[in-house]
Amino acid sequence: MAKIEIEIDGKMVRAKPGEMLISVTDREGISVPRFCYHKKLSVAASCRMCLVDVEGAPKPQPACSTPISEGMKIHTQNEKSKSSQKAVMEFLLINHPLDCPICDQGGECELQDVAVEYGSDVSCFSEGKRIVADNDIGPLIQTDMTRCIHCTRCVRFGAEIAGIMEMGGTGRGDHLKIEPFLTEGVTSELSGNMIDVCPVGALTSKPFRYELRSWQMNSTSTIARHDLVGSNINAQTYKGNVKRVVSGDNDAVNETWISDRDRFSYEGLSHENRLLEPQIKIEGQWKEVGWHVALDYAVKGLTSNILNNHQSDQLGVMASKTSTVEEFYLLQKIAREIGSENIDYRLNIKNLDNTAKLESNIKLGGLEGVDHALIVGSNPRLEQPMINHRLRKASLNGTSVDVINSMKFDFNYQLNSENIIAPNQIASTLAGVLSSVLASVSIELPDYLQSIKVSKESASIAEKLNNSDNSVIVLGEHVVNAENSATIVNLIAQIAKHTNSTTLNLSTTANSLAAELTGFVPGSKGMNVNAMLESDLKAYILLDIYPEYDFHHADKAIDALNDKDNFVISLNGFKNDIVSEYSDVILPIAAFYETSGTHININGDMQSFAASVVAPGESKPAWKVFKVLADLLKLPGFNYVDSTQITEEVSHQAHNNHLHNENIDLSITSDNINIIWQQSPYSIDALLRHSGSLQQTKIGKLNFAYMNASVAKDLGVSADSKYLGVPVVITDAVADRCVFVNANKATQTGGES
Amino acid sequence: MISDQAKKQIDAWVAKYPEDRKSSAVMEALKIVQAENDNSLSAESIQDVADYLGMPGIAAAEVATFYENYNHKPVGKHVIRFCHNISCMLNGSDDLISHLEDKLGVKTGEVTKDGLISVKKVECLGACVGAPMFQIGDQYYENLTAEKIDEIVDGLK
Amino acid sequence: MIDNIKKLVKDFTLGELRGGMKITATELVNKKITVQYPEEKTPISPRFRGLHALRRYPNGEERCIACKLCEATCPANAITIESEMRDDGTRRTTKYDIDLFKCIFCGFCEEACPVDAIVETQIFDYAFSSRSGSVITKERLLEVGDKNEKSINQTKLEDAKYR
Repeated sequence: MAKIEIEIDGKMVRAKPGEMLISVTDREGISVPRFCYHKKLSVAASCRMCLVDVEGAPKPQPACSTPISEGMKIHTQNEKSKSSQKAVMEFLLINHPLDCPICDQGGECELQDVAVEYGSDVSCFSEGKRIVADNDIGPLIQTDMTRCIHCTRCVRFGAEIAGIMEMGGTGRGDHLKIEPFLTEGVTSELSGNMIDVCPVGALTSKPFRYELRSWQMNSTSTIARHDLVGSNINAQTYKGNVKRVVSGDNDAVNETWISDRDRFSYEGLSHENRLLEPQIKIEGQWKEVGWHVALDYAVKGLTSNILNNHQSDQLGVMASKTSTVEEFYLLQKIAREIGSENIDYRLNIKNLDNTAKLESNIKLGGLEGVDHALIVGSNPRLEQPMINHRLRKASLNGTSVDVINSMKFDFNYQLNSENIIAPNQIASTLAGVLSSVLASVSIELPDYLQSIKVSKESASIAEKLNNSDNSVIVLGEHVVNAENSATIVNLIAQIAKHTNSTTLNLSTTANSLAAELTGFVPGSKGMNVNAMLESDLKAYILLDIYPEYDFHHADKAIDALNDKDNFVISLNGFKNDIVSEYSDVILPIAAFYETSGTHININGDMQSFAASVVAPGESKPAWKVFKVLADLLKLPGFNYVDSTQITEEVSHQAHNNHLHNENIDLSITSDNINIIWQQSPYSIDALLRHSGSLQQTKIGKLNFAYMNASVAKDLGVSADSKYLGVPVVITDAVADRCVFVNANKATQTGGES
Repeated sequence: MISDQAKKQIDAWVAKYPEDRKSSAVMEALKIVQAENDNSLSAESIQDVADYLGMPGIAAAEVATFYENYNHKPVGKHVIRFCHNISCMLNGSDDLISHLEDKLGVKTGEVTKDGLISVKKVECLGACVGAPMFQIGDQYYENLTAEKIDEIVDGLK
Repeated sequence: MIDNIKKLVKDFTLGELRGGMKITATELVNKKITVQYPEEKTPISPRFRGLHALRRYPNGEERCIACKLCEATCPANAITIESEMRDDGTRRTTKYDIDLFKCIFCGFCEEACPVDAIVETQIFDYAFSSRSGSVITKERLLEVGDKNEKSINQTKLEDAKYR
């Protein structure tokens, strides 16, 4: 579109016609005060603070809702705009309390800043100020609604971004109150952003309440590692502790929003369960020792158990999927230098021979441009909130969304169709889709599709994919343990190929893409995690693993690790009884925010971050521990002084060689009850499990086994009993012959099924 | 709970709007539900209306709390909606409201013990020409005096 | 030459001594300007800025609300405050330390305080017997305030009309 020229304060500026005046002034660095305008939200023009003088208009115009046109002359600093801004400020301050000294927003408050510039010392209004009662809206957000200036940013955030309108303005005029209605408060997975958008101290962070002033803290930009997005965040620290996390701006990654998970997980850092001293187990007794002693003990153990016997293939190394690129890389390098290829991070997979690869070949920004999406086995809203946000944006722009899931989830956008089927039926539905797709492009059906009957649902899903130019197929984490998971993945790859769809693989989360890139997968002679656990290895190095949460075969894993003859080196951030029981050495390591490293997100961006704070006690960043361990083992090639050297080395080599099962086998039609076992969204890693406020939220308390009545009858459980240690909820939302478990606690069985 | 009859009435209104704009009927729907529930709306019934129209509860509550026509507390059989806006105020509505309150023995916003009458202060009803005035049901009563009020109120059954 | 003769005459007539004795003699009869410290003290302006104190409201509630403006304004970074929500939901300090070695007694903290909690009293004669004694804690500040509330109130009243 041709650009037009307008004049702002005597300066000629070029801009797109129809653009709002405030976005032009923002771009040009001309300051216009505002409260209700937010670049990512719709325009409300309710605060009137951005009034500016437009030549020709009789009255000053709000810059946020005045589209520009050719030849417009605008004055932002003249008497007319200044006096109207001052008048608006006086109105806003009529009811705003003068409690800045006890307000947490003090020092970073937009109203305070603007009042300094535009406010007057005295007000014409000398009557009483109004007082608004507060509701408890949840464990994350503290309200002081007397301070509210009715900008409705939080209301618009809820309605437009979070997708559930939880806050609203009730009443009228002087009695207008911003509040939730009849609900348990604000439960959205993105609710914390309301704190960021609130220009005053009406909504502030509850865990952070009254702790510090903004000017006391240092802010370091870093990367959140709880999901596949790697949201850019700012960790605000004070005296070596992370005190608050706020979002950072990165349009390609998280725009300006972050999930509550990324915002509040920092609370876990100061949990009393942190592991602070290296420990070694001597004759069954734990003893806190210095690093030298602990590492010597570890080296001695490795030497006597494997190196001296020339049994280097008896070493197994495993890491949690939240580890950094550097940690994955060094640990696999140690194992490979010693001579073992028993390396794995895929602890929660039931059958590793039954896995197939699926590329993610669409960027986060690209998701907004698709015209059709098919989601298979995923609840993106809770599992990948920021990716769901992109899908929601697309959906609001007219993208149709089909879903194949095993349970009805609460999507915050319109679905074209929602197909609820048990995991072991998903493959046949997808086969129907593929067969219908192939038929429409006149490709001969391969043998395995010959006997497939195309259902009505499959046909309509196929039609949608066929008819759209730019579609995406999203694979979620619910099918990874289905009986025919590899078949499902391969079918999706086939469908994508024949419909020119892009694919987005959300089946493994956190930093697992880094594990793939750094080669943290079994080598050709190596064993995968399930094989390791079955073959009585002599030594293990385990990075940040809490078996009762992390392993699919938790009982088997704990038994195997507890074997008397093996030597287990555990690196953990938090104390854990089960880890203490089987380990011989426990080394305390730095958690999120305490180590430098790199996260790889679904875009493939390698986002490096520095440590925001120093790890507490004696704990050290894991990459340093590995470096020293390698030196003590006299392994060559570990001369790093800085984690960036490792990052550099990684980016020059890419492994990617673990088993890919290309088989498509539709024959499995057993009538077993399918169990989808999932750690609930706020307990997927150790830090989250230790962050108190998140655990208090509705999402944090998700600990249910959902099933329908007939499955409950077959399993012999009822609504007030437990299944696999998780309280049962009987609902028709789940597919028949399927149990969907969201667990936030360790249970006696872990994910065993 | 919304009765089937009310649902039918609401559906008639919903039909007047485009299919994806069901929530446009919220004002009429609230009115219908209010009429069914002794002329007042509970939070639950607002939520029911919202659910029926497929909109967030808070969005319906925003509408319901914005307009004076919706009552959120139980009201009497007759609601005296007394204007206290500028024209009426200048013509002595404040005194007349006090008179009415004394006569009925209730404050504005309350219901008489027999459940017959409740008084509500409202903003301008657009009858400034006959200020001071109030409205009962669909009827405006203008140029009020204390005697006239007594007469009207005594006539209410 | 003539100067040398003058000097000789002055020396031999004990001129210096006589000058000195003259001052001594005058001061013997003049009014004394020294005081017998510590028994006696010189008058102090109500604006004198001495040892700090934290004040309380008449009902015994501490005034300080942990707004940290004194900490922010302190040019010498002498004040350290930590705060939290007290059980009754109010904002309170858990730590309020002033390092008197760092403090330059500028009085900015008092100026910044929105609730007149931190004040500088007229106490200037205090001592510490250990190095760490220079850090005066919240308890001691409140104690100073409690002991001297009457005089603090008095001096603030005297000064109020000039503010």
